[in-house]
Amino acid sequence: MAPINEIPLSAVVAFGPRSLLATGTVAGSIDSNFSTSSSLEVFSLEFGRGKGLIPAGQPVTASESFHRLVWGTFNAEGAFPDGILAGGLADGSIALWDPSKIVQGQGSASLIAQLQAHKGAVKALEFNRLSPNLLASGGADGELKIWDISDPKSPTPYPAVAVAAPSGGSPGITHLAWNAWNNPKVAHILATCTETGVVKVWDMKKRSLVMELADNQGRMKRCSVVAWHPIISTQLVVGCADDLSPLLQIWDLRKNTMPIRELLGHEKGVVSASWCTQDPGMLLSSGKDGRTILWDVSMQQNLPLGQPLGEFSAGFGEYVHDLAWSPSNPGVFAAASLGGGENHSGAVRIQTLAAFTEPRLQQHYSEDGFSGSSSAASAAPPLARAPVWLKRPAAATFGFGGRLVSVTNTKRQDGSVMGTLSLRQVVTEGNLAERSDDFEQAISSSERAALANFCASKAASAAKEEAEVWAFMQVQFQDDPKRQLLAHLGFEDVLPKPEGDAVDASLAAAAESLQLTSPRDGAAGTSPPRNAPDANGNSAFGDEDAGESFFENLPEVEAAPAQQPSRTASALSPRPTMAGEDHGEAGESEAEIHRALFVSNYAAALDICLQADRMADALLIASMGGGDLWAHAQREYIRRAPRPYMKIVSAIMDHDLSGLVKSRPLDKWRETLAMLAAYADSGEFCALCDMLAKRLAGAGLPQAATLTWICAANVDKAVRQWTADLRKAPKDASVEELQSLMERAVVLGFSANQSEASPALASLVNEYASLLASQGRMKAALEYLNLIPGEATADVAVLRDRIYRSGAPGVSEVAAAPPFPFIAEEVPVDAAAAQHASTAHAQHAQAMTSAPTSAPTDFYARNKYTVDGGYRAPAANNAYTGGGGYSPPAPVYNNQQAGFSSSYGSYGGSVQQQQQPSYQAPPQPTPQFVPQATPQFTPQTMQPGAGSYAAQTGGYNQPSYNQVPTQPQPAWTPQQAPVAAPKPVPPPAPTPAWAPQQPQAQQLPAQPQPAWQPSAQPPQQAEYPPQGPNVFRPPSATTSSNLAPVNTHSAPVPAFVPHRSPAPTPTANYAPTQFGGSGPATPPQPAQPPPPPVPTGPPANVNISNVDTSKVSSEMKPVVAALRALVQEVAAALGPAKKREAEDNSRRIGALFWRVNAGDVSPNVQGQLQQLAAALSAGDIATAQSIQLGLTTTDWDECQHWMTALKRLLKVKSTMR
Amino acid sequence: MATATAAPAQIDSGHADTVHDVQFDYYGRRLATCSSDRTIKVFETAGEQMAEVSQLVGHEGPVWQVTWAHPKFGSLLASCGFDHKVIVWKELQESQWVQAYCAPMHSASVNSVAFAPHELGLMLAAASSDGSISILTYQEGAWTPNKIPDAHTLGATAVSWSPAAPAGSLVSAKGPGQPEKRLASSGADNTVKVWRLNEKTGEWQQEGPALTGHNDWVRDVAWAPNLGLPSNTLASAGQDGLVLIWSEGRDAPGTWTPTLLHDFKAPVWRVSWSVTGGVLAVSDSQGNVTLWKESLDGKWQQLAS
Repeated sequence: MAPINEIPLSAVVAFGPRSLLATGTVAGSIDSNFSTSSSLEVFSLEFGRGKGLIPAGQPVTASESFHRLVWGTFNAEGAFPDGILAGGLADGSIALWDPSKIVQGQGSASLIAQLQAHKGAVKALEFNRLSPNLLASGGADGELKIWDISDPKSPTPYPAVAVAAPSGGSPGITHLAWNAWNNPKVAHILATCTETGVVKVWDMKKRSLVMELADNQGRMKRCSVVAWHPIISTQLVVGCADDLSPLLQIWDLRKNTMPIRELLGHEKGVVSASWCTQDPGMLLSSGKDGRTILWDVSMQQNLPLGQPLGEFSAGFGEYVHDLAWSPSNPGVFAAASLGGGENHSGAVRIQTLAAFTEPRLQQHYSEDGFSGSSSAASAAPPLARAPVWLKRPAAATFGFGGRLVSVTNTKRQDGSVMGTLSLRQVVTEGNLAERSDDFEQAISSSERAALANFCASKAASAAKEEAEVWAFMQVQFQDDPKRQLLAHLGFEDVLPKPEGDAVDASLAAAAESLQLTSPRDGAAGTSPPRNAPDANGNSAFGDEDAGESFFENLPEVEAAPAQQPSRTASALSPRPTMAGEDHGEAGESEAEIHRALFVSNYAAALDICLQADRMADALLIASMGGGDLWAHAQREYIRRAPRPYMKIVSAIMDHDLSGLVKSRPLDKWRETLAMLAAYADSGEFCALCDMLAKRLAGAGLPQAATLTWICAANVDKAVRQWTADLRKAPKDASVEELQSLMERAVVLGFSANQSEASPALASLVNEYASLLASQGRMKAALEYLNLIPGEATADVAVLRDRIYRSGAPGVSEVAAAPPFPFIAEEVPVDAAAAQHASTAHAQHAQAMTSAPTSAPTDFYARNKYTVDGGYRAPAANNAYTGGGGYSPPAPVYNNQQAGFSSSYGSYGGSVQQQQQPSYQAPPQPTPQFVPQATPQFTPQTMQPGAGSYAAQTGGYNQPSYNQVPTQPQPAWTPQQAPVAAPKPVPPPAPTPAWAPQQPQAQQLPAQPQPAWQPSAQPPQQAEYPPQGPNVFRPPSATTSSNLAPVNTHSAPVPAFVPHRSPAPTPTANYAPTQFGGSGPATPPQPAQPPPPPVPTGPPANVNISNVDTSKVSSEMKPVVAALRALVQEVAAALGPAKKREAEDNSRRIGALFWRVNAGDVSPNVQGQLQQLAAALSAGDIATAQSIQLGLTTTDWDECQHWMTALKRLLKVKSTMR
Repeated sequence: MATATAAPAQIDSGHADTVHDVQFDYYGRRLATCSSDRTIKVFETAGEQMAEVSQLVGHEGPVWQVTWAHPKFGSLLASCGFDHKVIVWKELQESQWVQAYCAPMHSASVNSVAFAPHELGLMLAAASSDGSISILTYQEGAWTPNKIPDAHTLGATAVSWSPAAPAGSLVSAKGPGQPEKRLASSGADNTVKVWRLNEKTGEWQQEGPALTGHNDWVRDVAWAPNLGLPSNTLASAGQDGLVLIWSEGRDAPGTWTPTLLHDFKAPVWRVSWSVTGGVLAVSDSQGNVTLWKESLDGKWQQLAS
């Protein structure tokens, strides 16, 4: 390969710091102008920004040409940032330059000092590496000198070595080298070589000769180069410039009679050599034969001859006289040549190891495995030995699931290298594990009590906002959630005491029909004073709000006993002064009231009270009078009392909750929510909550909005809001936040029992499962993914596949093999390459059989597995794949899927998802499984010494190995066989992953009915079925349950949210007296006056289907028919989602029918109803609605019970058209 | 920061010489190792157990690196080595591997090989001591080579693909667009470079200037998964002992700002991100593996191991 750079200079070279290279005109060269001028130049090797050997500064003129150029690191405390350049010149002088000055363009000022050092040319020169102020020089005069350049401007001779000069003068020193690249113990050792072929080793501390090395055959004539081994401080290489004995020898001082290795190759004298510091196994040499050879001198090959790795030749007539490895760039070296080119000028070339890939080789080298001589034109083969700097000594790599595998290489005693693989699980989120365990425990039981407890514990430990979220969710899991919600909203004090687990529905209905207001035990006594802070001290309930007092005093209204008139009055009266009047005006009106009461004429008594403005008395009397009177008094009271909270009362009476939601101030959302919980039909509760939540969210009250969504069981909205909050956080969502969010969302999902998860929840669960997986908690991650109902999104499918096929312990118990979520692509085998493979395989077998026996503890001794191939059949496929289809055998796959290559099979899952037919393909693996596996798992593979392996592997295989045989066989219909077969084609069934849910779903009916559904009727089950088996049932639910018996997490929980539950009482919609639902059922207190003789009302369970209409007059028959049709039509239109509403309609209209049948309808109302029925029949809904509106104003007392239903019915009807 | 790592399970790889690389497959279930003994081995894992199941022979020199293809392409491995070769291996039957393709792409040691994200199709990149990076694409039955001829003077040491999803695509709620065709390379020129495929010309072009910060060979570069992250992150490891984290400007693509993770005082050979990002494993020449995580204040902290 061409050199990276080439400079047309005949020069000696020296590498410096910062990839600088210095050149000095070599002594003896003559340029084309016959000029003998000499110069020093510095270049910068800049490989980063395009290749370049850029001159750094201008050339500096030197007084003489160079024999040697060296670059030291001595910087005199910063005075010489780039160190010092020293040149051994032809005139026997040594010149010192400051290279930083040259680089900075101040070349003329760069010469520091020039000293006359030797009487002949200075051919040997080198700085000591550890004491860079020491410079050793050797001259043609045979003298060795040490210079101290601590003051570079005036170097001083270091005490000279006592050289015992042989008679006749010392032979000229041609080269010298300090020992030790990094070893201070030998840093003072120096070697010199001479023209007479003697290598001397000196100890500069003792200033004495240590050793002389000489070839015992006398072949070493003129030494040209000596260089120490970079690491082994007793070894050095010496080269001989004599063309007749072009020796290159490696000596070890411990064995100083003969070289330990000879490097034979040069055909003319060796002139230069450089030992590679980055890889001491590599040595460069060059000779006058024009060749530059790279030697493998690594000691691993204990051979007497060094192996040439490669060579290249300089141009014709040219030879490299100076070689230097770059200290900073491994594999880069400078080669300075002489005498090449047309005008015989030399060149300095920057080369890499790639230089050796296009050699101009001599024939005899190819015999030494130095191939490539005959094919120089084509791509050259690689070197026989890779340099150390390419050998990555260690590597750690992450894998899916937070697994980290690393390899380290250590030397065994025998010098061989052992690569050790280490596998570990990285867990960065320790808290995640702990907290998550609690959580998993809670959801795995999937019992509402456990979930409620979990919520409670979270509410107790979490910070304020978060605690409230948990408290709201806890409510969803408790018995009687509406009551709990109201209690939680701060109305506990005004709530009636629970009457028991469930209120008898018929009793409640009866009480309601009587329009009774029942005082509650101790309700008045426990009521806090007006405007006292509520039990929770919640500031949201400001004193200013009139609605507040409404709620606080509500029970007192109902319970106000006659014995406490003044207090009641002060609380209730529109005019507080009335309390005084009570006593002061005991006049004639009182007598009249007496009279009226004597004859139980409540109506008259009421009238008198109203006239006398005795509102409290009026209400009390009206309550005794019941029905019409009561309503009359109510409306009268509202009319007279312009207090703000009366709006609420009015709205409730008119059942205009949406108006309330729209108009109520947002900061009073809790009360609004409480009212929705108290008054809204279950059918509309959700929508109303949603409306409220949207307003809240829009107004920047995310917390309130989510709490409301929780109540509405709107998982998606709540989760979306939470996620948005999380994403808004300044930093990447912390794990803790994500986890708490996840827990909230999943628990909320349980409360809602939606058959299809919200996309937000799915995405969140996926993110969380991914986090779990990253901590190695694969099983848990998969269980979470299984919490997501419905069809998996792409993300979920990918993660599920990845977790399942990770082979992590336990994952195959959680679910059946998921479909492979990618579309497979076929890659054929290149025919030429495939042929190669069989050879490779044979080599492999051979290598394996000859493999040395592993240590006894190495129970995975490879020859047991790879040679006989038995490992995977019995163990890998059972224990590892466990039905995962990771490596099904190709033949099986091909048989089933003609046209698909076997390679798909080896990843199993790569079958396309739509491949339903293949799923039902005739089973093949099953019969193969047991017979094949068992024999191969027998002692045949259990070689001596493998006992420990057997034990280990046995346990390791056991779970899944046993799993298949113990599967209930009936479930294994042919088409399912591949699922659990040892080498299955993964079942591409559309929803096998959901299979585990089914058993749970079927258990549902066995769960105790929640008390919150007191009037739970059979239809309810039909209406809100447990997560429908029909929806997710895989081809065979039983099979699936057998496949994955351990799945307790994904069990759907019964719906337990207000909007999905039946109303506690059928008609708890209007009167404040029925607040809380259980009030109407309470029998009147004995202290109360005896129940007034109210007209008998319809039975509680009346509805349009069961009501008796036999006695309906002929005039009213069309009314009954029209309304019945209306109810049924609307019920159909409302659909199952609003079945509650439809049922309520049916009950109320049924009650009307009952009254019509009993003749208990006033003539006016009868007439209006007839007109309404006529309008209905004519399809004139607008008219019907106006008639209904008229009735509201004229005959409210009589019609109120069924009016709401009628209004709703007409409204729905109007939208249906 | 706390981290819990159980004592690692260890086995002798069985390789006869230095092991240079080990890589998990997509599922984290199988391992591939490669060695100076010229072989590749495949191990099955189950929990902490590891067992060799195959040996792949075919390289004629040390094998430097292996990479697993996405399973949708079947069971495929690619390896590269000192013998100038990139070999794609295919598992025909269990534990029976053959060469599916051998790429004559380089004139010097191939130091790194990496399959691209599967969204790009079957594609791999290789970095060579000859200074070039080659990109090999399998399409319609044929492998098509592409080349970045002078990527790193003195040699390219590593390649790493950008995640297919552009950074920030998950948070910006934009739909999935074209997958990113970008890769990062490191070299003996002490730099890291980022390249992007010019779809019009079909050529890979350098994006922005070379990333300079190391003072010696850059041994490895690893593009972080950008799940949920708004910007791109690279980690580079140097012979100079430095590990640098490079962040691409959100508003200035192609502009990368380095942060020093740590000066290890010894050559660092490998940086590897956890699959979900966040944790970086650093392997130095002493065989030490340390784990690092960015704290909330943006500093990198070593996880106790």
